[in-house]
Amino acid sequence: MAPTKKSKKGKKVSKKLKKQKKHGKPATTVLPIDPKASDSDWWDSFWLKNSSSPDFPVPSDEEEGFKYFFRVSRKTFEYICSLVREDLISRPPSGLINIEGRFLSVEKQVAIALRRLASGKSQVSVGAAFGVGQSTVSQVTWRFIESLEERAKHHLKWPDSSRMEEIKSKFEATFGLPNCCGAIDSTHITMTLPAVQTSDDWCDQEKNYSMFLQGIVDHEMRFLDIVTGWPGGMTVSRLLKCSGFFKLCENGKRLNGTLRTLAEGVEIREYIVGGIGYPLLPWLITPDRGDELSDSLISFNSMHESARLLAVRSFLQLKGSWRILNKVMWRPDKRKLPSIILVCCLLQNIMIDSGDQLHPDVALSGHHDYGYGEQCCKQVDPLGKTMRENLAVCSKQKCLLN
Amino acid sequence: MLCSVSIGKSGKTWLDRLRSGKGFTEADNLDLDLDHFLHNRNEDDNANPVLSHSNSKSDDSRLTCLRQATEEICSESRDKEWFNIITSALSGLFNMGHPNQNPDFTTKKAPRKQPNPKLCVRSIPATEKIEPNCSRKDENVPATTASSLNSHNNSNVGTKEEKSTIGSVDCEGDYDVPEAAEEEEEDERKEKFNGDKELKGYSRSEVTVIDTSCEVWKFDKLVFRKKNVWKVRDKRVRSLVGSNKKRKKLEMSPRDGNGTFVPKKRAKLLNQEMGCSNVVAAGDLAPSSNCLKPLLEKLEQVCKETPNDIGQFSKMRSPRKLKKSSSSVVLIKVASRSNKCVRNIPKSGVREHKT
Repeated sequence: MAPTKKSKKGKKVSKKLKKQKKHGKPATTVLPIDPKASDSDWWDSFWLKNSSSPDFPVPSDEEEGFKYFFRVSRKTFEYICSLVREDLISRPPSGLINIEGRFLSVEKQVAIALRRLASGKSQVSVGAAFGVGQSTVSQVTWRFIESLEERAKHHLKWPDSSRMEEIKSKFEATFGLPNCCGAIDSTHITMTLPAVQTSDDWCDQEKNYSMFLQGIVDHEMRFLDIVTGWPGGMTVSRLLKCSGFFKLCENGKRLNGTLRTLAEGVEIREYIVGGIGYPLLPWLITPDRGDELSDSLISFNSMHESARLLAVRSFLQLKGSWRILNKVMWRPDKRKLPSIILVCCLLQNIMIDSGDQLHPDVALSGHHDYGYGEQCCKQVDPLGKTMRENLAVCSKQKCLLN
Repeated sequence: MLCSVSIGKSGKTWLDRLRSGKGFTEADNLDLDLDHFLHNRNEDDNANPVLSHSNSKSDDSRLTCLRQATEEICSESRDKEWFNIITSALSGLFNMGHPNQNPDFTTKKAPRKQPNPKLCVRSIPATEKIEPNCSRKDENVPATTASSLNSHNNSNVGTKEEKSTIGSVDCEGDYDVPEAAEEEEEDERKEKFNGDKELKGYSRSEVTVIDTSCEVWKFDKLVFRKKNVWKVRDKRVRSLVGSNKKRKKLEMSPRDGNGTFVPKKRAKLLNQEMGCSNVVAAGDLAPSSNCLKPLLEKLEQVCKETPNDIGQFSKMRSPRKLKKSSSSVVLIKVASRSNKCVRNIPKSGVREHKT
């Protein structure tokens, strides 16, 4: 059993770490870690304890089992640990300890946090799997989230021009859409809230309490831009207008790269593709849902849809990998929830950047926004309409050539 | 008692006024004996409509006349009529109770204060009208209460009381059904021209947004919602306060409505009572002192109109506070105490200020 003295210190660790940060104290001034005291053999004990669970089919292979529990490969796991080590490392006299009184290693802390995000299971059951208490899971997970959202920012950024050229060429090669920079979609992160009227603003059209997540993804389903935190009761078009991306595009500061000149001398600017919930704009092309569509428009619609599905699949993968986002969260702190969502997006990008292959069973089947009807925005910008018609002509020519 | 009043120093004056008010001639005023007047009225009425003021009529003759009068029903009723007229007039002046009661001088005067006092409703709109800030605070109150329950940051929305005034939020609102979308746009266009007043009917939420397109990814916003219409405003973070030191200084030397320094505690009390939030009061005391003048004027008016109500309220005050407060301050306090929402405001103000 842990001595009471130590456990008291353990509880204070978060505050002390914050103080250290505040006063700019270098972490090296703290006492060095005794590796023997740290909980470095966490995986062995975890695997032993959880590999033969009758409740869920755990792969027999240890490597696969690791990915099953934490979604990421060992290599990526180590990389994530290296990102957050500075913030999570437990040093005497302060530091998180486990039930045996040993300091929690960074690896174990990352494992606890990843397991919590990946499974979406309760803090109690996650804690039981690791031999720690619920409060430790809560504390460790939040510390991990706070750390990663600061230290992994470089994994989620709008691409520079050279990278953007690469993305555009991939989109054109795969979907036949010239100068397309990405696909946009949005999803609801549902939650329960207390039955007070303050919660009504979070009530969406399906009478769930939810928070929006909007993402723009590239051809590899990597998030290039996200916005989250807005109430789920908004319309998708309203959500777009609230985003910084919209303002940047409207001011010509984004999607303002090189124009693409088509065979007929028609110029196509940079744009992204989105569903019918979004308005048709010069830089956001939506499908044409008219009654009598020309062949070219029908062809364009199918190309558009397949490109747009990238965003849908990206959200399916996100919510499948990090099931905490797919479960109905019980009264979350709405200040913290956006950080949780962001970190899940960052983790997805880290996995893509690291070349991790996701197990096909992990991603959700069906739709990421299950139970939500598709919204329809009737806003049509004349310039956007012209863009769409030009793209339709282009797509028809490509079809003929093929 | 009525007798003593009639005999008192001011008897002449009020009786003169009373008589002239009731249409008696100047000659009547000479007769100062009320009993004589009351009892002989009937007798004299028949003989001489104008009361003679001579002492020729003795008490005996008066009694006989009275006896005769009791025998005659008609004359009795007329007598009662006169009694009633005078009694009602007197009770109107002295608040003697029901005017039609037989003026039995030995009975106790009806209490001037209501046995079951009720809150003066008139004072509540008065406080609300005074400052737009004050009503805004009302909106904030429920938010905090709820947030404290939830431990949700985005408090500021509203309790049941608030919501009832703001209007209900329709969650079933149409979502980009064309008509709804048009309506939304139209509403926005309409409301663009009205400054911040337009937010009166909106529910309010504080949201934490992460947007990777912004320089700073994480920021707080205020979201106002009325059915399908959404409005987003920046959250003012201590903008009014400046530094803590400055704030402390200001708190040390607040000024009242007349520009004179008031003790810190009293200033706080004033702000609280007037429903001005601490956010405003702490950082910028000018608005709170501006609240005072119109409030005092309004309350003075109310005081003149309904003296009894004010009396009722003054009963609610604790004696300690009564001693300390000047009359005008007491009135303000009384007015705000009647409203629970206003009472809660300072708390919410403080809370919002902290976040």
